[in-house]
Amino acid sequence: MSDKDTKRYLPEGKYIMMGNVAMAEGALAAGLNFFGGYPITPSTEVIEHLAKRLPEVGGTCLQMEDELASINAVMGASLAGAKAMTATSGPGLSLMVETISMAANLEIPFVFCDVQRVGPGSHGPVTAPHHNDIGLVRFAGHGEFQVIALAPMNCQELFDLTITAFNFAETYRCPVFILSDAYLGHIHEPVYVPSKEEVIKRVIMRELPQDYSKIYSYKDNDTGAYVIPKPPIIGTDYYPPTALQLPHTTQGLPTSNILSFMEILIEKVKSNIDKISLTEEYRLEDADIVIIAYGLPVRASYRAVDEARDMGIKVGVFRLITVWPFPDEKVREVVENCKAIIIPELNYTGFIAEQVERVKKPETPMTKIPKVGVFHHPDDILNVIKEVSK
Amino acid sequence: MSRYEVRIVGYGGQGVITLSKMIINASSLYGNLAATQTEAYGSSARGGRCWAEVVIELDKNIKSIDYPKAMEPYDFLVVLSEEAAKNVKPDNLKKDENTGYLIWDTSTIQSFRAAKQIDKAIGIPIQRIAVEVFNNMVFGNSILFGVFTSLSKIFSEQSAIETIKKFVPSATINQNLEAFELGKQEAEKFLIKLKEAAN
Amino acid sequence: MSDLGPRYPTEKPVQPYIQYSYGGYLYGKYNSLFCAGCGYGIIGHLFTRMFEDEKLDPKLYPLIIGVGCYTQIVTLAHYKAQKITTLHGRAPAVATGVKMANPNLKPIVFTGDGDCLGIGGNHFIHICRRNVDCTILIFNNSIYGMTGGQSAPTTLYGAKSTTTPYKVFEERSDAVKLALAAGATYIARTTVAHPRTFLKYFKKALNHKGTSVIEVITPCLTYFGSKNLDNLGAENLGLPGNKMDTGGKMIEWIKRNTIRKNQAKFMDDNELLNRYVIGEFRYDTSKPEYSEVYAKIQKVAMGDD
Repeated sequence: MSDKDTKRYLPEGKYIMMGNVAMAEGALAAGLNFFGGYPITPSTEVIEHLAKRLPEVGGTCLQMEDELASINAVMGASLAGAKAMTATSGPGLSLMVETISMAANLEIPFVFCDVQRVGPGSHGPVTAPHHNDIGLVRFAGHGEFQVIALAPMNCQELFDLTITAFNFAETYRCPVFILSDAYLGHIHEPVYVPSKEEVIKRVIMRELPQDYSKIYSYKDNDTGAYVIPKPPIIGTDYYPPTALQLPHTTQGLPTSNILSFMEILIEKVKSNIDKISLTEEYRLEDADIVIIAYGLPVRASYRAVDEARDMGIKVGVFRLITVWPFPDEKVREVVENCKAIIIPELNYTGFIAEQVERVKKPETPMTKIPKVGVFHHPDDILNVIKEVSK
Repeated sequence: MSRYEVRIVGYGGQGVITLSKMIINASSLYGNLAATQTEAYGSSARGGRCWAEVVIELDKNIKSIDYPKAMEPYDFLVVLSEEAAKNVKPDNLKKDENTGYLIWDTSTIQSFRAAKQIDKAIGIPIQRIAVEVFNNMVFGNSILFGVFTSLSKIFSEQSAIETIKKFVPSATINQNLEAFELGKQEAEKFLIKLKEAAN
Repeated sequence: MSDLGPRYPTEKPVQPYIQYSYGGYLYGKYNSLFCAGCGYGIIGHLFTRMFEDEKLDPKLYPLIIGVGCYTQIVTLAHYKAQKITTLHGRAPAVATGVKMANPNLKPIVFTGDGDCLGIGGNHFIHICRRNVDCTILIFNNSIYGMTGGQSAPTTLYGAKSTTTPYKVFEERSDAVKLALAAGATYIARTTVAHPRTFLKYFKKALNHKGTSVIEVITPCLTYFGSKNLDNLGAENLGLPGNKMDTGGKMIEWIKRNTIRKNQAKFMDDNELLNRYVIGEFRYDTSKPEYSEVYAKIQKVAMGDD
């Protein structure tokens, strides 16, 4: 075992980590080789930590000239066989979306950490949380494609879900987002880091496949399943003649069948929604009132539910860990027989509320609890629960 | 409710954030309790109004903290600047036994009206002691940590000593342990006084 | 026709490198999408020829291609070459990523005047500053060809384009001066009318360790030549202009309009207005290469020395 491998994995144990650092360590555990970034509050600690840690494990951490360069370097590195990642916040994400479209089109895997902050604008309370990029990441860029977005809620999950995000990126070859926020990024919490063997077992490594004839995803005509080959690596034989930004066939040649190309880009992810969609149910067994939440508001919701249950109100939380693709069927099942839905979101629009609106019965009442900049106090949610249960 | 809510307020550079990190390390890393620390971020952490909060779950069966911010009333409040002292109200602290402590630095705060109305308020000239005894302001942190350890009793002294060893430069460990001991003595004196007052 | 002799052969001569170009390899014939009179065919051909003549392994030289008419060079480039078609202007950033992820590769960046000096100017400056080992070929046809003849940062003063119907009133930007200031270590300029010089420079660039920038002046007959007269670049002589309506006339114009570096030394700004100075401007092997420097940092970080 070489020195760089021992440095990559932290010794098993408990650590007190800042959220952004937990994310960076999770990425290292997942086999990160390349990080290209540009400093932006509140994601800066990710690049600061990786600038020190990545060279130790033989990887590269570059502070590029701007966000556009960062994401393009990440894409180039990913094509050259590195597990690559970038981290930014809202304004940076806006600059990067063009490349995200391209990466989705070329099925280039990479992980994107979005430490969300109050927006729009590049000034103002940039250190306050605001889940405002949820809508943007869903269709992050021009063109049609499906992304995966994960919403952790504590430092342990920032570590664990970053590994999951890399695995999703390798498996489904689509942009994978980790939706952190300004608050979560700077919280310090204990993180349990499993042993090296345990981590390696969890991680899907980048390797060359047996079969070089198929490079991009395709639909198997016999089974009707969508097959996603391993990502190509430039400089090896497993690479298409041209990474064309055109609708292309599985061999990488241009095709005029654009509809089926779009179908493959979207369905390769959506058809696997059972594996991608991670959710958590909390005291939902006999709940009349269902709280649907993701990210930070989940924590306040759990406390509010405990307090409401003590008062005899039957309420539970359905938590979305995977925000996109939205699990229509699961949510439909959960809200089918409930009497009321409460959706605390750290934004005004209610991006998830819109989705729930789509799948719920029209007569089920739904209450949104929007917050921006400051996040929900358990009492904010408890008051609504009391109101609704009357 | 078995949450232990700690809030530290002052201005940047006083060690507000370091103290909060020491508390979470002692309670979570060495004391094996679930805990969450949050802090002021940005320019305020470097000179402006600065705060940090630690929430510790005293029930060992609970593995994570739900709501990450400290909720009023607090179990423990540390006030280090005049400006922060103005905003403190007696209701901010719990009234229960063995909790609801307020530590404030008499060398940086001239008048602290709310402290007079709080029974479990302990004023210590932390900065002055640090400068007089150790010739350096930074030792105030270890004094405060000593006071916190013996008043809160949420983690063992051993955990606290481990934390100090982790946090301070190795050359100053002994001095810091002395400072920690000094803080502990201050706290014990205060506890005796409290007991007498109760009787 | 055949009476005219060998100067006008009735049959097209067999091009010995056709089979090595990607289009030729696939379809057995020269497959170019360029307009008649375009210079990119020459560049694509020279590129393939370089790899075939020098027996280079195209796999080690990934092509990072920007957005412009030259993106179609993918069909003319060597059939074994691996290519990434990138976003408009971002090719240098992608090349940095590829090089740093796999330092064994040497990316070749195809970029144009609008791509490199317009939208991607920042990335160009910074790849030169870092001295990342790669070869950047800037194809300067002084117009935005693919979008239909809009003015570029390099469009000559007084020229006409669809977005400057009266005349270009801006100073043009100079890729060589920019690269010199930004710190690239091999910088040259040549034209498609000097193919042997181009091959010489290109070979030197491929063997150079560091950022090498070659600006290639190339004609755009459809959008530049047909709209402008050939007295551009000869303003001080006050000549009446003739139309540049064939590829040959454009090549002639380019030849007449280029000045060797050592001749240009004795000319003033007025004489050099709208003219291209060709030659090698810097060849510096002393500056450390970026990925090698980073490898040293990795060694320090790993605690190997």
